[in-house]
Amino acid sequence: MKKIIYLTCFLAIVCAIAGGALTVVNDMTAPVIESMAIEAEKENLELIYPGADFTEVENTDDTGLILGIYEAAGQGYVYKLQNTGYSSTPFQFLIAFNLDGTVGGYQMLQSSETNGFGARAWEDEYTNTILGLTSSDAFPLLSGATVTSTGVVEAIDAAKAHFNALQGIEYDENAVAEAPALATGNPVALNSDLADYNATVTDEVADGDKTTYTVTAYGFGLLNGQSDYSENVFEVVVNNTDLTIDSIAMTQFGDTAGIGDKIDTPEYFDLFKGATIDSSVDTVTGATFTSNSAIAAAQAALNAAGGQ
Amino acid sequence: MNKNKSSFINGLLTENPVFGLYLGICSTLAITTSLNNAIGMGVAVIFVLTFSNIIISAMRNIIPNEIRIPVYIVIIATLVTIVEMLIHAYAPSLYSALGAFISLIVVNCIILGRAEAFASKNGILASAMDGISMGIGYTLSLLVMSLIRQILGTGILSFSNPFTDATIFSFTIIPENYVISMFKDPTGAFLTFACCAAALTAYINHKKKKEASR
Repeated sequence: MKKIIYLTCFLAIVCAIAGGALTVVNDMTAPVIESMAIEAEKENLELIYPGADFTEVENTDDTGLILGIYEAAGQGYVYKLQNTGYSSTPFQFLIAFNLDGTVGGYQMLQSSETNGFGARAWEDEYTNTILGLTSSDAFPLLSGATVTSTGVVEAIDAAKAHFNALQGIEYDENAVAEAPALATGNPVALNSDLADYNATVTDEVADGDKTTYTVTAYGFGLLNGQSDYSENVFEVVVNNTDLTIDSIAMTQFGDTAGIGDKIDTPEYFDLFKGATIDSSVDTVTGATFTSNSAIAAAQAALNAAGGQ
Repeated sequence: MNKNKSSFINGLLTENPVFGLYLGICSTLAITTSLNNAIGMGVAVIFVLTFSNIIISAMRNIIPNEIRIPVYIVIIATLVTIVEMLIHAYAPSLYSALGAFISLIVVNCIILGRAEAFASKNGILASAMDGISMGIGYTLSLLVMSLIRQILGTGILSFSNPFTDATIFSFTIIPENYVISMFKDPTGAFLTFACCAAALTAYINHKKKKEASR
């Protein structure tokens, strides 16, 4: 019995001495390791607060979206965030809140999101939107880059939660930003060459002055040879007297959900009203192919009505 | 002192821990992809081995026999953790290159092996010498392996300052089109190891034969 107590005590003493030695070394190296970590990050942080004095803040986030939190003395907080968008490789970016809650900076660090789609989350249009907000605002999604911007907003929400708790700012965490108005532009002439879209009139029903044409047209998927996509089907009503479009509607959607189906709004289809073969119609930003497919369908219907 | 000297030489060559005693092979195979890794790991092991030998030798008369292994492990683990924290703080790129293998020095059998076989039976000075020579022997093995693997695998022999990452030297020895990238992989590590161990055994056998015929 005595022997066991002796052995236990001996081992305990050895462990205590070892623990003491480790504490001393840890106290020595921990600040160096921490400043190294900031040093490695500093180049990025300086993009937002040049020349500021950075210290790392304890990361209490449990969403896993916040990689690091850095305080720029007297100026604000920088959050290094990571989330996954459309690409399986996660993107990383920084968002900074000034001490008064306004967004102090928004900077992409790495991203494999698609150019022209998800990558637009870091281009001027969206960046300027974000730079005009505060930590208590709801951050909007970016039309045409829904998947990526959802990831961005999700990560920013985590940063907002941390920042607002830290600064004692009260805000409505469930607020959802209003969907931005449909962004249209880059008009396409109705008489331009849209043969690739293979718009085909499959049915026509005459009703007095108006004829309803059922037109199938390729969208993004079929143009790019992807087998799991199908054609878009439109019903185009043409005024026979002056060969203008009376209305257009999409009856079947074969493109990417969440991207191409953005065109399926009365707001967009109203743009076609009264168009002749010499008119131009805008495309929906971020849904160019599907928009073109509707324009090709309108073209096919007008040509059919014109007897071509 | 003469005995110390001959055991010092033994640790480097005929009783080389890696190629002669086949100890600590796991980390040798894993990290010998570049000269930098080899030297970093070698220095870490020399440090741990020397100090664990010294401490264990100094405590050899008070450590109860029944719990000697746990005590050795605590001492070795403490030293390894200290080395790990120092490398993390002052040579971060080496830290990320060596990764888990720094912590795994704890279970590197060279260290526990020397503690049990040598330090627990010999004086402090002899144990320190044993630690240094075994450590240098291990480092030499790493150097030989990493030289062969880095040159054959990448064609470039380079070394950079582990504290600042500044390149100290870098020679292209084999043109890029003629490198054997297999040597960067575990396959190359095993082949290199086998050849080196065979060469050392051949040398030892040759020496024994010569002594026998004398």
